[in-house]
Amino acid sequence: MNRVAKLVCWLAIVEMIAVGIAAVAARWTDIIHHPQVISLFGWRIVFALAFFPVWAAYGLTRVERRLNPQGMVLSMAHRRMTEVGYAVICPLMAGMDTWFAAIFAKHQMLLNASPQPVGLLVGGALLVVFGNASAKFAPPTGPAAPDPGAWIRASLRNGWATVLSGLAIMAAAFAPSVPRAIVVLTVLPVAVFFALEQRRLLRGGPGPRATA
Amino acid sequence: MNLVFKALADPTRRRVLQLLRERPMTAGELADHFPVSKATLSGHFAVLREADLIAADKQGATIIYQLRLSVLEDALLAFADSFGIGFPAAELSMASPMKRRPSSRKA
Repeated sequence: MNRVAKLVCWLAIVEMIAVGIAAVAARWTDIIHHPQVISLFGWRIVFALAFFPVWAAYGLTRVERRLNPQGMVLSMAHRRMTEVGYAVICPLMAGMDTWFAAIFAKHQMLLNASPQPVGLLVGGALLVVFGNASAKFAPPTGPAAPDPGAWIRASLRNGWATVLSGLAIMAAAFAPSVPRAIVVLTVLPVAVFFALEQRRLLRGGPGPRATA
Repeated sequence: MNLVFKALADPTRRRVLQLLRERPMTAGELADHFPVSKATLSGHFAVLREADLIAADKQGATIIYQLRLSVLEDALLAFADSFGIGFPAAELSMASPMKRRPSSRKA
């Protein structure tokens, strides 16, 4: 991963930790003396604040591994897109984390202005952009690289699935909360399935080559 | 984007993209599917490469072409195919692969 992308991600992780500590410190008296005033929702936010930086750091290590799969070399465009993608996702996570922290520290007053639609719009747009571009990456090279034909077909199929998922999520941003939850809960597992399919290809051994 | 539209407007070039969807192919393998001269086909390959819809990988004396379609470009390809854009009657025969003996043509 290049240094700028790594720096952006680590800064976002440090920001999330600092904001989480600050939010808990702001309500420390309540947490210690009147835990009952912190609703169940409040405890969920505490959980999110504690684990957002952990998830971001874990994702960073996964991206590092994904950029250097054993026995193969990813194309430059593939590497760059993965790096830029994670460098965009980390600040977005930090933004969401900061919003949760503000809700927690300000006694849920900010809940009325939910950032959910904006988050869905941005997240959906990212899926559309990454899905569209992912089908254009050159196949990996190296002794353990997958069959280029299989890679291209799978990339195109997964790209379509990702783009359609992104569009559905963007549309859900304008829907009432219940249909929105249904769309997101239906579409996300599909997008995750195709992302895992793509990763599985990067673990596969070499296949038949195009004959000269 | 203009280059992409130009590349997708021709049925021969679209057929090349459909063939490459199966697997990467050499110029010779692709040429077996078309009743046109090698020079004409090379021109089509050049247009597709210019539009970044295919990539050429030179291995020795052989050039292997690979598909490089984004989802949007794939959608445009499907759209152009569905509506038969730029599909003159004389070229309809090109839509089906020619039954020819595999040649040993390179590049």
